[in-house]
Amino acid sequence: MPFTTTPHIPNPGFAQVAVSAGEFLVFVLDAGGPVPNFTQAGSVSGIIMNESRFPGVQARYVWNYLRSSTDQHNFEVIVTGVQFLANADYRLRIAKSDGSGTTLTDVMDIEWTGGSPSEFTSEGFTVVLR
Amino acid sequence: MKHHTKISVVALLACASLRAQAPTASEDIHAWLMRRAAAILNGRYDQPVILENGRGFANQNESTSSEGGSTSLVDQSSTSDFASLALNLAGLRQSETATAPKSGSVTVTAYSILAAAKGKRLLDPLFYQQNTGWRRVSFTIGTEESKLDEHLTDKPATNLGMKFVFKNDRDVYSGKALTAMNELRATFGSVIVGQASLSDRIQRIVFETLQRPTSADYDKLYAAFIVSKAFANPGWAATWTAFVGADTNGRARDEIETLLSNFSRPLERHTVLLREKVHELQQAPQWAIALSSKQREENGVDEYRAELIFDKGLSTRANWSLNGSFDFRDFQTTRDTRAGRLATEFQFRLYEGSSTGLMPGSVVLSGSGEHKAGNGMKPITRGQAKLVIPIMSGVSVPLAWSYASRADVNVLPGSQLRLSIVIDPVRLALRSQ
Repeated sequence: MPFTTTPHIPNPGFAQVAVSAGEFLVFVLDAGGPVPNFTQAGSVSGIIMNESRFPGVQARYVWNYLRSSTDQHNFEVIVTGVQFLANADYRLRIAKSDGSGTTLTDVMDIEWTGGSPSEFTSEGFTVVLR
Repeated sequence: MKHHTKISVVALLACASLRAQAPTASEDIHAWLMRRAAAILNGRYDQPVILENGRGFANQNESTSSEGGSTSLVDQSSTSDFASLALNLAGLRQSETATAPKSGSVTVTAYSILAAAKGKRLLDPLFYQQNTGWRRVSFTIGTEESKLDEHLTDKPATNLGMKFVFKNDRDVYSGKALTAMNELRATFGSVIVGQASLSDRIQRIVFETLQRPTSADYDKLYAAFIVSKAFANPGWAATWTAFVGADTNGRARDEIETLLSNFSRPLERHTVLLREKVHELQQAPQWAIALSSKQREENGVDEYRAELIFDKGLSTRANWSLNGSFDFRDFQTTRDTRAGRLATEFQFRLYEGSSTGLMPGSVVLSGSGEHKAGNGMKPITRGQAKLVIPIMSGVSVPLAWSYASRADVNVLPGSQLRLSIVIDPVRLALRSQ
């Protein structure tokens, strides 16, 4: 049976980020276990993040993007994909933070539950820089 | 009249094709392009390789686990990964004088004991990874009614058992599974990178077709277009309709179709590899040794069994088990018996349940056979057909019909019907979370 998607905060399709003021995006991916498998890629940057870039398997993965100027490409499309191969539940939260790391606004909060091994899914949005 | 009819049919087909390409009201551009790419991919096969259910891509023939927090790769061990409780409720008797002993047992893995002792969630990723070895060992403790004429006591027996899975290629941390995951990480990466690039290209084609920007005002107009949620849910459907109207010569749509077709290639590579690897892992063999004993007080007969078990998936729905054992019965007052036993079982998953349907789990039909021979005993052959019916998540009712060539300890001659209930307390707990 296909997994269930619950948009706690629906995907708006874009994220406006004032990088000139030091704003950046923070991604938090919670995994129900036991073996999470995810990939995030940008239309300019290629692969931005996946679980193998963390020091070991985790229940929560946190990373940021756009903090470095090398990440900043106006209108870049960011896609975060998850595989349910050995992990049935995920929750992806994206927030915009100011330069000090304080959360300014939640961009999206999507939860997937009950995935089966041969399923995968993704969420994408476009970054609009100021 | 014929000419008009032919044109009408063609027009209808063209309209149907365009409608199939159009986004639904609940799709954003990402869901739409994945659905379109899946449709192109499925068009190359006699049967669909992936479902087009919006954001979900599932193999139609895949077995699923709808249990919270668990996956069917985790569920495939021959005992529950964590714990189970089995109760034989009633034997449906062939004759009123024939009775079958009542029994109940609980099986737990060393992993679940360790998790409980450390206060850890069973599927905690780090804990699961660090304690792979503990999932290989399980313990059973139970009780069984004794019959004076067969067991030389009427006091209940204490059942003790231990199983060690020494080769488990189905475990997600087996070498086979880790290699598969590395391969799939690479192909999945190609899909996600491809999706990001594809979405970017399609967005720009649609924007440029609709607004015809100059280089001077491109960024300003594109930013406003994106922020208007033109590609989001629910804006994308209306954007597409406007785009189709503006694309008078169809060239922009042709370009999009070509891009989608190109993207369907990495999608196909990943989907085919994923299905192949999942099947391989779900059908991978398992080897285990098991030791069990029934201990009875006073002069009761103590029983011992040492068993070698082999388990292999034959298909996504079928599984085969083979086991051989040495059985020893310790009679306190007469001659002991020693016997060798060979048994085999085929299991077939008849129906894949769902958490919202009538059947909250799989309905499994199995057929098994056993032959036992030893010193001081006539050989005995038994067969059984069993149907397991799920009642709710974590609770199932096995209904078994068996036939034995003669009477033996705990075995009635001829045919018998037996009803039991199996409770998995961990799945019940997961369900209530």
